[in-house]
Amino acid sequence: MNLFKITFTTILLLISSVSLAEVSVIVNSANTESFDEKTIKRIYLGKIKALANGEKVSVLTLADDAPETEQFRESALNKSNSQFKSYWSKIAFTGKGTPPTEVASNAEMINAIKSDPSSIGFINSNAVTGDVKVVATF
Amino acid sequence: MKKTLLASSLMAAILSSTVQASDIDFSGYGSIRGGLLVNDDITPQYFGYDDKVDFKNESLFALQAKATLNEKWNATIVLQARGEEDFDLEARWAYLSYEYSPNTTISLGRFASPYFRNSDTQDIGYSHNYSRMPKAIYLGEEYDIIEGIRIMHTTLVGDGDLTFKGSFGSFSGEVSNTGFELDNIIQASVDYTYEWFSIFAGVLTADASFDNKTSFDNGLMQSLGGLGYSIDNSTVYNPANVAVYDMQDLYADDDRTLYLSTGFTIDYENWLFNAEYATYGIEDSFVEETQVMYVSLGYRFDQAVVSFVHQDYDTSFDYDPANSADPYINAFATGTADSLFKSDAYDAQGIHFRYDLDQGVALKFEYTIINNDLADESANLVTFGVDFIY
Repeated sequence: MNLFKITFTTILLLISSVSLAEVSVIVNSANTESFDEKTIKRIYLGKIKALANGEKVSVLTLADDAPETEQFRESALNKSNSQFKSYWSKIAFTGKGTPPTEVASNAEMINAIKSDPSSIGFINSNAVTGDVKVVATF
Repeated sequence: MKKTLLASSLMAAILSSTVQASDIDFSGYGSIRGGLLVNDDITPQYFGYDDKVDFKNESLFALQAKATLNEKWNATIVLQARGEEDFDLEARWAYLSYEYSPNTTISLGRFASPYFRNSDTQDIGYSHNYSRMPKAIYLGEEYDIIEGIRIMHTTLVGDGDLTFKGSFGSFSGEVSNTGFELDNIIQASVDYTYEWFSIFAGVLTADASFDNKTSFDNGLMQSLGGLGYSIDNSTVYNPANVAVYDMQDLYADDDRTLYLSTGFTIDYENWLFNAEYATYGIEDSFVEETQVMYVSLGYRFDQAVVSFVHQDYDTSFDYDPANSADPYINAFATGTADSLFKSDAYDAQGIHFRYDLDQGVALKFEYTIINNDLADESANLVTFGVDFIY
């Protein structure tokens, strides 16, 4: 019984620590623009398609089932995964825009952001390196 | 033929060797939906189900291929197979897009015609919370396609986004095995979206021509031919061979049709409110005006959405075409109008469930009571299904 309790509490703690992990929104370190929460939201909802310098922004996301993705969509966009996908299905299948491009891992996200000055993405805050610039956390 | 050509040339453009395979994005959507009337005094028009369960009518599969040709240009084709068409593949959308600026896109080709606010997304079941969009407005007609040009512009107004959409083009095809043409389709709409609400207004005009002359002529001859009436070159002669009617009054030939629609949505603290109203008609025809609307109130739970929907479909029509001095002709014209339109009016109340089962998969259920206004009889409809995107 006691063992069960301990195991249960540990699992609960593990689950909550995973879902509460902080997510950092990152851009190329050469990018000097400022990104407030509203701008980030508008970029991820396809309402802003270019940076202030006129360059087309390439929007990146982690996989749908990554905990970081769920956390980011809930806190930054105020949308669950299914709300986000429903929203984008209306846009993507009617020629109004292209949904964020998926990359496989935090490390790949960093590489992609490093190599594209007009890209934006998000990763687990624990995975942030000096190669990219953090513009917001959620 | 025209659409096949357009579709295949776009397909060729998409698959041409200059485009790297990695530049083509494939995605898609689909629905498996079944339904039946569980208690049917009447078999309501437009709802598409009778008292036997049917899984074909509203099921569909769609595949989108989008090729990025360069920074500014892309080509997109959406191939759709509908149960109602025996899953014959159709190029529902096939267009070339030019991004004039990040806020302005011009597209050329074939699109879903935006009669109403959600006309272009009505096939994507996953995109909304209903089992199917309220039928009072979203009839899913075969002619809701336009071939032409579309321009889309978005701009920031205050803290919200204003989207302008305009289209120009035509449609020609068959509706219920009858030739049907819409020419000079001109469409414009504006949509303003702020954090938790959005409003919409749209207008569409076109010149409509039905190839229904023969069926009207035959109808008249069947009912009155025995009495000695005859038709020559669309003029009707009575048994005394006196011209008593011009059948042109019944034909729809380049008659102007006008669609007006408006709507708004609220999505606040998990409460969802949605309303749309539209009015449309063909000038110089029996149906002066069709007025349709729905309102829905919903609540979003963790993985589920429950919505109550009230919808209303009403036609107001006059008997202007029954303008002959001959009472038999007028009886025919009045009878034709009654049989075509009078039984249509209804209102309906329903409850819809959406349950998000997994990434990109939603289960749907609907129970709707349809009340026919004229007959004062009702039918209870159940639909259920799976909507998905990939």
